[in-house]
Amino acid sequence: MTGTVFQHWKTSYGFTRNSVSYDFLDVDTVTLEIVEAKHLTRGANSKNKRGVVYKESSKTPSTATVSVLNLPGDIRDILTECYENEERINFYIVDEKTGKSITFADSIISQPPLEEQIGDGDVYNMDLVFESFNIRKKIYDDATE
Amino acid sequence: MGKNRDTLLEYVIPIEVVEPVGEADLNYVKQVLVVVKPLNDQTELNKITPCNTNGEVTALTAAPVGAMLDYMPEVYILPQKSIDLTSAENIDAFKFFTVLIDKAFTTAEIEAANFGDFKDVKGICTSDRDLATVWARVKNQVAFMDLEENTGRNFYMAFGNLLGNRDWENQQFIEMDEPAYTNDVNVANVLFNARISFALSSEQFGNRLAFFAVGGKAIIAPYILEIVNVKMQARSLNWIYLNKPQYTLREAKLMEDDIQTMLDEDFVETYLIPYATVLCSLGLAGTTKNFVVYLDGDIAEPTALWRVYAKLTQGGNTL
Repeated sequence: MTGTVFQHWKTSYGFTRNSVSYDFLDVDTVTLEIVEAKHLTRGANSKNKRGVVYKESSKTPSTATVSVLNLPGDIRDILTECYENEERINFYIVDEKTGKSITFADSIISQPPLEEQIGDGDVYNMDLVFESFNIRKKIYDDATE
Repeated sequence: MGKNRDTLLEYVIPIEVVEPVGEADLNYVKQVLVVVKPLNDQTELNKITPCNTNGEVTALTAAPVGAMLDYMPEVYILPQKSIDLTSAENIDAFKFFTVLIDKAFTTAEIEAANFGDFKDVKGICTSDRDLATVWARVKNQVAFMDLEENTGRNFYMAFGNLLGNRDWENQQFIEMDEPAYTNDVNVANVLFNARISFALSSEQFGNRLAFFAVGGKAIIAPYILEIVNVKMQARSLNWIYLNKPQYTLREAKLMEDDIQTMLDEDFVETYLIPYATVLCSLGLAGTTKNFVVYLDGDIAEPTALWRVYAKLTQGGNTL
């Protein structure tokens, strides 16, 4: 059995726009903040042993923050266009060995893709933040090797 | 063929354009072929004629097929003395997903019908309840009960509304022109239980389509399934064409995600089906590890709500 942890060195990251996939070649760190959570509560008289379920943060989107190095200029331009036009794209994480994946579907880029560190030539280093309410997780052991 | 672009420009900057392959043509899903008895001895038999006006229909047959043209732009008419799609000489020139058999054909003629390799939706209109009961049990078949004295106009109105509307809807209780098959609740219940389509007359609301189903399923089910199939094929082709993928699990998963996006946007979020899930995987051990990706889909059946069985308890506190 494979666990649910993604191993950085065998995972692909990128985004899909109009059915075309664009890979991020150099990804330093990825932080996922999936905020949805369910909790139990009950009346203060403490009689109810099962409790009542309530959901937290339904109005807050989940976010994926990706530190990308050496992002080519043309891909940065595409991302900037997506940001400006509030275009919906899918940010994906795929384990190349097992096929496990997490997709932030219908996401927007929530901050303008600006370079925070000076890189060499026409490549950019930046943090990209994807926001989505439509998280598709496919976590299973699908290895064929 | 004339050359539009300048030679120097083409030499210095050759541009390769990659465009999506485009949407699949789904018009045939809404096209219908109606097999009718010929108007007279001069009517040409075994030849499909596309008709856009009621005048074109009445030149071929006395059947009220023109009722469909109130809702849709075109119907294909095939005049025949006995039902045999294989003898229609120009059938290859037309694409359609529904074949309707006019009410003028007898039970014996319907039972002897030859549909060739046509496997999609087949509808009959009949006043023979035994025939309707048997016919309605079979996958992709619609049996519409109608009065002996009716022309079958209600049958064509039901299909015209289904296929001519912008949205796929189950046509619950739409108004019908001709007298309904029954005004009796017991008869209606028997027909409903046998999944036979029929109209019901009510003192207050007139003649209404009271049930419309295909092979025991919601009437829209085979149409939606066909559209899902074709859209999945087109999306996969488009994705492969645009991304030129290698044979890796990563690529299979990206294609899976793209197809999933299409299913969610086109079918689940529009409430046509409650859920659709796809899974793309590479060949299993022992199979060729090249060229072919395996796609497994789990797609809910489109359904329809027609009736409410209610129970009221007065004075109790049972809820």
